[in-house]
Amino acid sequence: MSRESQFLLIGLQGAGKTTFLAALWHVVEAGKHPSALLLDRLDGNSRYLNTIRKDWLEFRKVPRTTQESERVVSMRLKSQQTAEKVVLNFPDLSGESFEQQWTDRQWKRTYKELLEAASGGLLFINPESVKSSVRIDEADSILAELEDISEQGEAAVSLPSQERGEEGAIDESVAWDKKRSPTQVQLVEILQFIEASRFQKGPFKIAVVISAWDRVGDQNLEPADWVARNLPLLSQFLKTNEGAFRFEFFGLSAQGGVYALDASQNQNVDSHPLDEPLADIDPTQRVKVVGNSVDDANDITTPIKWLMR
Amino acid sequence: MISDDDTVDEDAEVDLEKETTETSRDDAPQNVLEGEYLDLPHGKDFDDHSARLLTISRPVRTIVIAGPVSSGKTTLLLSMYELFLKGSMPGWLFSGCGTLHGFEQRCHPSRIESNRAIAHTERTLTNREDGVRYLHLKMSRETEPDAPLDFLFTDLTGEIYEEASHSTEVCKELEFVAICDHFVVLIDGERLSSKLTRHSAIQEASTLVRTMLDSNVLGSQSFIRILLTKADAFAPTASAADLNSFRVDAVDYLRTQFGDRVASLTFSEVAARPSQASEVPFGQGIVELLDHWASVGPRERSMQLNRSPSACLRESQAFFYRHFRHL
Repeated sequence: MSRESQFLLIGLQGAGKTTFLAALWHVVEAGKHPSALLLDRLDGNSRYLNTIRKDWLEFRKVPRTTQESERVVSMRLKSQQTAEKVVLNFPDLSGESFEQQWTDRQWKRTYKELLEAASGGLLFINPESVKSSVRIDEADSILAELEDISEQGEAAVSLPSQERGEEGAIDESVAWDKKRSPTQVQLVEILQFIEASRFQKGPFKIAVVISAWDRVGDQNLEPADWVARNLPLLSQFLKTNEGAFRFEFFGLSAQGGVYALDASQNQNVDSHPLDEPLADIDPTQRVKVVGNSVDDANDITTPIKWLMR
Repeated sequence: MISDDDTVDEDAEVDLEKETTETSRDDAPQNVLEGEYLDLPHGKDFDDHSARLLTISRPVRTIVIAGPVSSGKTTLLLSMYELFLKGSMPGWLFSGCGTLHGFEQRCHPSRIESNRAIAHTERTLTNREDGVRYLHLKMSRETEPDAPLDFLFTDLTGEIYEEASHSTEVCKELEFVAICDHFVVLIDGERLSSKLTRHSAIQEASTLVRTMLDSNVLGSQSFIRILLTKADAFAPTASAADLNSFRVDAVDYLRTQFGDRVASLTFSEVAARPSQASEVPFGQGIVELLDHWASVGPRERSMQLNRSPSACLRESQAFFYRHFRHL
């Protein structure tokens, strides 16, 4: 007898949702990791998972999910420790769908139904694609410091002509583009929509996954602290909405490193962070996970096991 | 096993019967996320109806930000939001916002994405016919993260308040003022720092408050804050002593005029978006404002009820008269 759980994969474009799925599929299906969840048995069509896994194994960037290719992915897994069996369903949604919630203020009815059936989700954030807001006065302070230390005559700042008061100046200001709104604002809004749709239901568990963790500069930083420092609005929101959300932070590197070339070429890959070529490492060992709830740094199923508790 | 290009792989074992079954499932559409779209909340300003729905569902503090055109009403709210974006609101945590689009659109001209060199706030263009507009923020004290407070802030053009200061009838149309928790009157610090304009700046604020009181829109239950904006304009200058003296006199004047007509009349200064030349920190004075709005107000006072006139037939009318002296 197995229980069935549904977890959403939430995140904007390029956040790492599908790469995670690819790596997860390999780890559970290969069955080499001693503590990870394992594939209990295949059921139905695994073509999609096998395809993205192949890209992942061959060090190609896993193609992003488009709105046309969205699907629900299912895995029948079991725990090696307790033998508990579980069916996990992951709606693999495109980042565009989540961004559309922010820009167009719409979501699909099917997504709402999936959301209502879900007990939790993994919220992916790619530190390399986080959009921040910078006030003009903040930028001015930085530029002023740079001007102080730059040599005389170097043009560090070029003001738009209108601001320079030039005759016939053209207005070079740019209109607001919703798509360029700060990442943390968009994520808070997505979570607010989730909260509103789950009125009077129990807390929604969120595993906040900082993907591409190997690219975070300060590896001594805990994932929770990284969020507090880089996404303070999101951090405050989660802290003050514990009635609606239970959350845990994870840092995850599903690629294991930087791929040197794009998907069209299959050549040598960039060095592993420990200066060991990725190609020399067992794929299961490419994955790295950090966080308070992490016992095994290579167990990509840790966030899922936390969600299942 | 059928490969991707539909040719048969002769080396693979084939179970035709099973494959037929699986083929039919293979052909079943995997893209299950189709179908109609549902609308989500628009995220822009709340109108009166949306605000009322919120106030019905939970306690909400309504703050009216009043003042002439370009006195800094919208900039005050945007700077509050920007401080939360940076996690720079000591003692307070952001808990939610129903008008994120409203804030983001207004903040844009003050960010580098706008390609401007000087931060700017677009002029608010709503008029009386458009009705009241609010921006919403929910926030929690750091010491009480599980007890968020909802705030609705009006964001209306200064022309409405300029009209209201000339007419008690116009004041009476501004029903949202009568039921607000705090009425904040902005005085433009740049005008205050100039001898040519400082007297009219004070007089405009005084006239607005007087007209509101005399029209019974504000009264003995009201909490009023006189807020000097652009405090960075008070930078140390040769005439600083004279300016300070004038400010003290102005505060005394306003307190004398209105202090005993309202429940609370307080004063403070704010530098929501200081100029680059000043050393005043961004948003100085905003935290104190927030602390004040959250800790004092009509709902924190013991009730001082007015006697209902016998003409009141409905309990809701009598309640409103007892608390707000306005029908």
